[in-house]
Amino acid sequence: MQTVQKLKLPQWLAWLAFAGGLLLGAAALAYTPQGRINLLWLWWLWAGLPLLGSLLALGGFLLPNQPLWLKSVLKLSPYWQPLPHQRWWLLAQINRLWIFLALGILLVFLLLLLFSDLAFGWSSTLITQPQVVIEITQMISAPWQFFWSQAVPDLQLIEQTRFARIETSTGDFQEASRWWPFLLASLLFYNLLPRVVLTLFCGWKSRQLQPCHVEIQATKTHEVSILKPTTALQQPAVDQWQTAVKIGWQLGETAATPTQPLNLGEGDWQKEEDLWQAWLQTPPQHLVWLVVAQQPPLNELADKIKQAAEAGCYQALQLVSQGDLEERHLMSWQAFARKYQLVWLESAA
Amino acid sequence: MNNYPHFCVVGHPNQGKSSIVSTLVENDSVEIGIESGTTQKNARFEFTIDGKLLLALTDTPGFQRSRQVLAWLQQDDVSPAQRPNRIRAFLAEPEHAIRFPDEVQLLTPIMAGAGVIYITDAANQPTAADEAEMEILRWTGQPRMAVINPISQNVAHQQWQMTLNQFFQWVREFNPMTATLPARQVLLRAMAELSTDWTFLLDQLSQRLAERDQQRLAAVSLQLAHYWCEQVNRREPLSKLTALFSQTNSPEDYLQQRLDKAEGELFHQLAKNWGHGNTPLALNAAWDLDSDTLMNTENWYLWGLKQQDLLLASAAAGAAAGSLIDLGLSGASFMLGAVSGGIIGSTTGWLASKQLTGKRLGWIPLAGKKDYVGPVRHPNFPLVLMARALTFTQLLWLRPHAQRTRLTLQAQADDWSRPQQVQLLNWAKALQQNKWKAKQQQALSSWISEQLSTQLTAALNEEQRSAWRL
Repeated sequence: MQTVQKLKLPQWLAWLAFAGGLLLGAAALAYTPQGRINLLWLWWLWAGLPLLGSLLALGGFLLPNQPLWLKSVLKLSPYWQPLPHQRWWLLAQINRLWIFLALGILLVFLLLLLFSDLAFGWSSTLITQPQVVIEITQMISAPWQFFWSQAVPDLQLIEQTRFARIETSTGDFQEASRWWPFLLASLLFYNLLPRVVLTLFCGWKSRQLQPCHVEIQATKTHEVSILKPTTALQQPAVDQWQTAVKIGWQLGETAATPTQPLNLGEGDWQKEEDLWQAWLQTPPQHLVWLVVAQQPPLNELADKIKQAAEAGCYQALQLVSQGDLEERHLMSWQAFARKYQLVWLESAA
Repeated sequence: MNNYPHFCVVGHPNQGKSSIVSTLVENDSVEIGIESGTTQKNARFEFTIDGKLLLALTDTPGFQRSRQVLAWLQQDDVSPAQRPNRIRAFLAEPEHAIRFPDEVQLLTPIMAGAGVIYITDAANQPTAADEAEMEILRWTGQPRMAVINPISQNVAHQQWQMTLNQFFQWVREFNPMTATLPARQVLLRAMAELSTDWTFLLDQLSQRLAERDQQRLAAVSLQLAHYWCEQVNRREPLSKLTALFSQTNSPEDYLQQRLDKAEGELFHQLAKNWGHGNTPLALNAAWDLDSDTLMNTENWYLWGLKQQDLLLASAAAGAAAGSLIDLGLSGASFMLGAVSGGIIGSTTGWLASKQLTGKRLGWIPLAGKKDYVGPVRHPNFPLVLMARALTFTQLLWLRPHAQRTRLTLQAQADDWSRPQQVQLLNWAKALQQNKWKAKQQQALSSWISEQLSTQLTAALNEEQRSAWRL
């Protein structure tokens, strides 16, 4: 399902936006028959409209689930919906495409500045007073007027670069070309910068909303031993075991009977060990281990079974149940009996 | 002490240590054996959130010779302050790694700074071996708590509680076979209280796990909405090749197979994402397909276009051609070229759709018919589909990772109120009539989120109440 898929915008979209920028830049800088480029029109196309677009994009942030139109570009199912962080990622990508468009325009502008003579002027039907134009341009230049004075038009420039179609004068080229810093600054501050800010904001928001990545990993392999019953349990020959010596394991004091010479697995280990070693000096031929069914088998018992086997005892295991016998207990003891080749006797009451 | 919380899960064999670890680490691949002594080596699990290590948990083999180890420790008379050093001396003896492999395994990380979670099933009275284990753990001097794992029917809780209180700072009950997040959070909080150095990170982990669950709910709601829409509108093209390779007897069977496959893929993916990748699923869906309305035929033109596509494409081509005329006249035509081009184009497209049937370009047909099976229009289908998806999600959500039984899905759509059923059917109708809107998609995912949230909250609240039993 694509909801959990990692989204990726195709690379060709960035190239397309860049190429669009190159075309837009070149088309806007094409000379008219009057030999002038109307900077009011150019400013609107390069800075005014993009700024408006950025403001609209800011408003679009409030719309839930936008931009869903990208679904078709990303080849997502029509029923796909973005998670919050994916939505902001998509918005960041759209703003990134606008940055590529602006970079295309910028590149064409710089190239044409270098390799051709760009003569700008201003012409308007409604605005006729240079004073109005200077007020507008001063306002536009506010962000950079303190550190880039060449990019702030003055009254002389405005007066000398006004043109009208019915006038044939071509004007002063030196003055006409002085507009380029203003246009460049406008392109940077009103087109590129807002989109960069929006991209960074959307990217930050996307990262903020990223679902927390909880990872629980095993750093060391879990070595397990599932004891498979490879051999059948040894069935008893009843006669042999009826008179066999019985030793208790963890039976508790109450469970011990006079027929049991030892009840192990209780109390102080060292004392018990001394008793056990002494008892092993004269081992019986047959030995039955009485164990509490509900307690798991321990290697401590296995050690004693091995020692008895080395002393020549033939051994059996008999469960003493002290409550409900669960499958896990029975299986554990059966596996234990198989492992140490103990004869399996029926449970004692 | 570590700068991050590290706990060793220790105890007598066959008390459910690995089950508890499996549930805590949300991973059903932790091996759990029914027989005693399944775990033979330490297994370490790390909880990292956004790359930051918040908790390490080590599953250990059970104590096997605790009385013997305690006897060794008590050979020399040492003051309480020197007891941890005595344990270190025990670990430093090379031969102990051979004689007491289990104890060496489990004590090593503890003496390196890990806290202790001692597990017991409290099924029988504490034995001498149990007491020796607890005494050894007391000698370590590390922060420690006990957890009663109520596996057994016959429990000696009171006896154990009194014994455990003497050895451990906290005693809690935790059932790995039923525990969901609230129960795990209770355990994490108790662990956090053991050492002030660990409190912050463990509280953070608990909080982030809750956040993760909220985010998971939002994501799964979108995912289920997506799945439901696709299934409701599922139509599979039929061809001779399909019949040959699908190994089904009829188109109905083929559709059933495709529906099952999509459901299986979703459920398996959810299970895998939520740490239940090894859980066997028993799905067995028997969809009400309503075979009378299943078969559909659709015309195509110019190698794949539907009639609507053909009209749109021809109108767009006409408008583009008309725009060139407008451009040539420098706008003097007031866009009449584009408008009339669009009208002429769409009319031509419509006429072509009537004429193309049966025509060929050489040997290639220009139009034809394609058979589909689906979508399923049986009124029960959207309801059953949704009920199964919601039930499965809920079962999986509440399923502790220590569970090893088969997850069987039995869903009922009857629990929904009449208006809810009507709402679902209306959505299904809109989908099948191609009148589906983004707003409806949002409403559907919100509805799913609400359904899941209501059901899960009830279950989790119950769990939270029972988690504070001790």
